Amino acid sequence: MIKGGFQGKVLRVNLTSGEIRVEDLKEEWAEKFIGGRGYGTKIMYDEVDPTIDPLSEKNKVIIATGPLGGTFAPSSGRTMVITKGPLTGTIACSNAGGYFGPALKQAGFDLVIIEGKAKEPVYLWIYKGITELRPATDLWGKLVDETDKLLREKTHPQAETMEIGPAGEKQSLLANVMFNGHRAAGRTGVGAVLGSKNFKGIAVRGNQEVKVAEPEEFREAVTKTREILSKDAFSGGGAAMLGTAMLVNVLNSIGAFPTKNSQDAYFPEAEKISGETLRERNLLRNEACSSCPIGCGRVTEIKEGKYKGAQGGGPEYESVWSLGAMCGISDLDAVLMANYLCDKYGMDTISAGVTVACAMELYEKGYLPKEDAPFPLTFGSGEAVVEAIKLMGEQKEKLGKLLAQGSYRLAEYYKHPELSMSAKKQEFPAYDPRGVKGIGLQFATSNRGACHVRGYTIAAEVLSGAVDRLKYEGKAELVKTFQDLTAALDSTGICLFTTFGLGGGDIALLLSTATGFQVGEKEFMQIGERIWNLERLFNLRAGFSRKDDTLPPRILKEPIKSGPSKGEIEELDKMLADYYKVRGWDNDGVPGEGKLKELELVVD
Amino acid sequence: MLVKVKAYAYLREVLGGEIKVELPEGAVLKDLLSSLYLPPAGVEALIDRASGEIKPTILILKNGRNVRFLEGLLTKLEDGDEVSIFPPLGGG
Repeated sequence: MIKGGFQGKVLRVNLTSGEIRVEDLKEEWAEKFIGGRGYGTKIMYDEVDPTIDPLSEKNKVIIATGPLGGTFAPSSGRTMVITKGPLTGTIACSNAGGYFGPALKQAGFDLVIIEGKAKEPVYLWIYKGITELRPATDLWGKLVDETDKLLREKTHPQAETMEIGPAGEKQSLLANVMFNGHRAAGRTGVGAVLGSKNFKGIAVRGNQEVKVAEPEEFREAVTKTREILSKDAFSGGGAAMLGTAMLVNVLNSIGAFPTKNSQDAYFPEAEKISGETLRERNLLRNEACSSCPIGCGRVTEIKEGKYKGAQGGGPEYESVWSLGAMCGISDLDAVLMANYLCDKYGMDTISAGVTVACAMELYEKGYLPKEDAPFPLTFGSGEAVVEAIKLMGEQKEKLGKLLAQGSYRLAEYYKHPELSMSAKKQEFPAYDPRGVKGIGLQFATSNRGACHVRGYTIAAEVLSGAVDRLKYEGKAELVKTFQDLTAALDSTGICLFTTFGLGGGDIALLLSTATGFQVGEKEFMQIGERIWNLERLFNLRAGFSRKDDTLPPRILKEPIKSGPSKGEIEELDKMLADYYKVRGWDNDGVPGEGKLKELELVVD
Repeated sequence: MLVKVKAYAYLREVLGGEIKVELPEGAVLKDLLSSLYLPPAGVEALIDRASGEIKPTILILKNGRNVRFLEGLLTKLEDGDEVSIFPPLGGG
């Protein structure tokens, strides 16, 4: 029985009819799927036909927090956006930090379901349990940071905001959903779905307390987990010092830092775009999310040159890489500018950068003709990246429209889809599978297309060095463990970065004492496995199969040319069959009846 | 022989950013890390005093390979090798 953590209320907003309904949270679902990603996926699975066009009126978007959101559990500021993703066609869940999730809880809701399509642009205002759809015609066309500001002006100066930018409005498949101006639920094109519904965003404010089931025990669990995080050298200080960009030098030093559209995996100029350099040159201040002792976020400024004075959040490691090394760029100011622009348009920095990199290779190989390129798309040109991001964000000219559809569709248009560094049409993040074997299996099997945060094996394969990154043995189990842990974690409302210090047992303790559920580490991991399998079932119904669990030919066949991982390729076949077996799936990657029964997943 | 040592993040302040170290033929990682070549605070940051091993949270690479999967502190060094040293890591 739910005794705390959850507020017990779901807001259902039908944009077609304008009707807003408050429903009770289903206890049985909360016990089986927690909240956030798990509960949201269950709604999608039950209410949405997986074969629909993701940009049609039939798609739904679920904005969800978890039971730990809005409590004083560490790093509990996450908000999840769950939908059928238009970039991939898979089930999609993107999540962001900040303060929005806790504010939604304080306004009395665990999640919001957005369905239908508004005739004219609208935004939603949620205030102390009162909800209202308001016209957003004057907000339509506004950049993300302007929208964030205007939403607060129109509602309450301390409101928390969620918004899409022009990219989402124009239904770019790289469009994200932004929170508070620069926190991004970045991946899978979730912003385009809101754009297709004429939905600009949400402003929320509330003052309800989030009660927990066992206050004394919860307080002890919070104290314990905060202590662990403060003693850990990464979460207790390292993360705040350099942010995630600390990884630039690490991944480059092992030669798994994809460079020039993965034509290589070693970037000789990495130091120029590293976390160390960023801190010296551009850091203004650190910025922490709600209730977060880690504080990895940062605000930066360009101090010189033609972009002088520009400021913004980030960049994260992934963005420094995608807009930097992946495009052969060592000009950190151009990388920062491109990153700020992505945030303003509301575009995923990873996919945007990798798409530009793909365009650059197409251009240099002569497949993208000069007449289609308004300027030379040459690797290493910082100006070209900044200008390409503008074209993409505004969907100007033929190239801008093509770029806005992501690398796969761009490369397919120019008849070389093999040059898209993607899985299930979603662009790779900043790790070359040829140099870190397990992460390749993760990219190939991830339920939302290529992704690092569905199963961050990098923690074991590179950072702690617990397992050998170049070996195949044991990687199937490793990937499954990380995938299951993350699926459960993404359903609680706390941040993945807590797992650098905390184990599943610690998080299960927070969850149990907050909700009153009897969940130990084993049960917590099983919930994660249940969610993973439900996502897989959604994708199978959407038409995905074993043939989609793969990687681009470059990764499977072309050896890395230089650097410490020179000569390596990714032999995915050595892991994939094992992975299906470890998951209890058949040779086609379909969950067996036994597994579904074990997970209490009823299939009709 | 000459070996290049690169330290990252806060270890730069302790160890210096990039240094070249002259070592006798046959030297191993332990020789490199000995106090002859690094200030005492550097050794303290890297080596667990009780066990004498590399601290589990410290990542040391020889030419991109984690020395844990080579021969740890007894990993042999050769002329031109590059040793990278990272403090506890996370992120993504």
